[in-house]
Amino acid sequence: MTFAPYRGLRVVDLSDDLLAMAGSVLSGFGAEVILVEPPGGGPAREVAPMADRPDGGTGGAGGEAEDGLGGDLGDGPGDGPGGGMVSAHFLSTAAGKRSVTAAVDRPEGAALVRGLIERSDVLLCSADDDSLDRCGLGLAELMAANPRLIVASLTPFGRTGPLSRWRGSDLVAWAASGALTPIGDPDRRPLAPGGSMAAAAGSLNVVAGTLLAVAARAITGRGQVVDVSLQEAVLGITGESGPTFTLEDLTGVGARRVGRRRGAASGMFPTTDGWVELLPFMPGQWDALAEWIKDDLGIEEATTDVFRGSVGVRVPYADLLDGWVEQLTSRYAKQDFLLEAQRRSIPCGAVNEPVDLLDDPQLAAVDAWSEADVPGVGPLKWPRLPLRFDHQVLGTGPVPAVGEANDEVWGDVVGVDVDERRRLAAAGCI
Amino acid sequence: MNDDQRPPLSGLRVIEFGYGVAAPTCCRNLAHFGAEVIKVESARRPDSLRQSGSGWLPLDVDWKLWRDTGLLFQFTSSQKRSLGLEIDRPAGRQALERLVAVTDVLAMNMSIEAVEHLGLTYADMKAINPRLIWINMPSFGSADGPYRGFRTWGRNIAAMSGLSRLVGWPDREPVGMSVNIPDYLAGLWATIGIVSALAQREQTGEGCELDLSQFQAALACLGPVLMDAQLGGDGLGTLGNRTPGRAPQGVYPTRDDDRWVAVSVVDDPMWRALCGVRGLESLAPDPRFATAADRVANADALDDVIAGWTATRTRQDAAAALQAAGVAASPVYDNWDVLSDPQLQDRRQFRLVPHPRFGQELVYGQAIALSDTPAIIERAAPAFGQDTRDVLGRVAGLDDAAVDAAVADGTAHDLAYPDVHLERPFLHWVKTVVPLDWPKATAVDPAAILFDQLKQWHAGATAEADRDGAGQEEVAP
Repeated sequence: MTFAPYRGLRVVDLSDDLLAMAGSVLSGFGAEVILVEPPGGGPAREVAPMADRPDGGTGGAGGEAEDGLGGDLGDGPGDGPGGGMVSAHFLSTAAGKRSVTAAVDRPEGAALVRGLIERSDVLLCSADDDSLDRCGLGLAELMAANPRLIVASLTPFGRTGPLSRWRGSDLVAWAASGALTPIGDPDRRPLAPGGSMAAAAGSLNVVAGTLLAVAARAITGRGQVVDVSLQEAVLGITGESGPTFTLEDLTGVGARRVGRRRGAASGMFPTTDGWVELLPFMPGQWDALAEWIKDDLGIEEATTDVFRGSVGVRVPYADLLDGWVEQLTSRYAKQDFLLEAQRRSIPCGAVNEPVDLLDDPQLAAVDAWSEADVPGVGPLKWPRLPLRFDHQVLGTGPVPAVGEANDEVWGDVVGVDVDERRRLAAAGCI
Repeated sequence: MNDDQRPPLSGLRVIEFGYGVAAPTCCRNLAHFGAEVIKVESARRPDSLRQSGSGWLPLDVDWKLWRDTGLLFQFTSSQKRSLGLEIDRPAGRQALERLVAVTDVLAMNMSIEAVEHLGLTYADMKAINPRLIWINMPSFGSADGPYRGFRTWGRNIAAMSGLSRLVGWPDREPVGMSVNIPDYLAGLWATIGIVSALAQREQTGEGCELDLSQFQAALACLGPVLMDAQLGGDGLGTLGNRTPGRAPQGVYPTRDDDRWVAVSVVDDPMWRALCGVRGLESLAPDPRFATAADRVANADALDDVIAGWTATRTRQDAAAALQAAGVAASPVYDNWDVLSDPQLQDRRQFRLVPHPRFGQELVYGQAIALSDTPAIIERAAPAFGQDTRDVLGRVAGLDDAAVDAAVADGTAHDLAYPDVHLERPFLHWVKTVVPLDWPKATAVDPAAILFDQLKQWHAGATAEADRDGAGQEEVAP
């Protein structure tokens, strides 16, 4: 049986780049996620990272796509990064969504969107109350018109509290969580993790909150607001550098930036073609690494009792042990080192470049990618959901062309007849 | 409680065999939204976060107290119940099967071999309860692949997923991830998986087997980077604190040594707002910064101007002035700032709740904030075995004699040293930082109380558990 428990759940997606992933995840569980874009395509199609379009297409400003995607895949109107580019961010985070267009900043466009929200289960939104009110999309009114509506929100600091109007970004969320302080090199300023992990954690919290709100609605009959804060989302994924540790450890150890060496014989070490991350945390795991050092380098002292035991025992000898480990790792390519480390039961990971993952044998073996030939771009793959239900893999569909669902959504769902749709299109509202 | 207040998972029961972060944070989320979560714990294979203990305890403290004090355990396990039970003994197995029969979800993060060895496979459990939702989350999942069974911690997964390669300065070796973010992401994905499986069960009446790959859980959060890798774009490698296509963005110095402020200008309106900040008026007419593309091309020069402005201010003043103008900024908080942050306090991210060992305990709130059915956090992370008698009696239906027998022969464990109360030293002064409903300050020196208690039980206590032989190699973190 196909696992799609949220089939029939209609989601209106007004998210910004930080929340964009949430709608795609919901679509993987069967929800109908409708991305609302300005006519011609929205700013979501210009979010960095941007890449050159393989077909060299220049795109056009405005108008519906002629070939389904045409010029509108990665090139909306305005003064963004410009023609001939495509947003890798959009190609990933819009996967599985439908697209409709409406000029939310004009009364007729906002009325359309209001009509859609009245007929929907979930509204994904990132805008603050002032911006929503300006468009006639105030949350109180929307929820009054549709008491079953679940508003699923991700904002920098949350929708309540004294800093609810503060603006944010992935970096700002890391800064405001306390977790930035201990990351980086000791002689430089704090360093944010790349990869937009605040946005990812925030979006996953929104998805979890939405599904919980759907469950609550089955009991109460009413929707509610899922109010996730990026600041709290980062606090929630960095427990081991969290504030209670500072309360206990008055020396402040653990809040220092230590670079790529993390303790003794732990951290990132160089190989012939990149890096590996080693963490022989349990006593037996160090013993196995020491044995390997002895086997390969002939260093008998590595296996002496002086270094055996918990991590703390080895910290005073970090320079010595790290030197040995570096000699060892430098003899191998990173994938070969990974395989041998795992054969010896030593926790290890190859530090993969993003391109390495495209050919990773594990990901190929477990059918980890969704794939599609995206018009104008070519064959692409993107990660499936990390969950299997009764051995069944779950993935998301490809990205939508601008406005591909206009007729179906504005016509069949909202009830705007074809003449009126033509008029609205001519007026630039669709 | 009327229907309007009933939490979404009320009436559901979850059994957790969790270690470290992934399964425990998932089950904590379920507990916060109304599920009864029973953490089944072996004294011989305790949760790795019970082993970390607390810095203020002497290292030779009795293990049975040590295991109740871990700080990260408080983070992962509030609102749960603890059942101390050795399920590899016949009586323990029998009790477990009685529990599974009346349980909705069984969640664990164990190695595939450990699951088989302990008889906890989906086939084993489904035979007892066909409506059960079963989830395991090994590092690389249970499906057949070359990395199946590989041993990793969260940092190793961060490396494998490509995340670590994105952390560093462009002119230096990569730094990698020093926090175990993948564990937490796996916990979130598992929460989503379980809630959706419960929704599916509402429709079909059948349970199911969920399998989560922690590797893929991290990978699934890196979609844009992986897409960019296929398109040869600009989002790869170590970019310091910058984001492709955006400037200015960075961490800037302030008036105070090793104190910083983070600033992001995310779009043109925000750039115009930055140009309006007093002291930064020189930005607007500067031709080097005229367009977004110009600002990216001249990001170093732009950073110099902003750093010149921030360097004469405190981190708080700089962030407040920027935010007042509508620019995304924050002081780079240290943990003291986090604890005293009015926003986090207003949103109840720190709370005081009862704890049988400490009286009261400081716990974190919940990032999944629901307006009408908010997280319920009324209990701290449990002391080991504190709910054993309740769970074996009320849920498993054992009579008192059977429970007594199980405790007596070491099959089950109830709360050790119930009369020994510990006090975390910081609970006595943290109220000056976090204004919560704290217990009244004691006139007695808390350290004196603590050491009196330590002396009392030290006299009679014996160290039964072998902390180092805890068998952690059998579990995925």
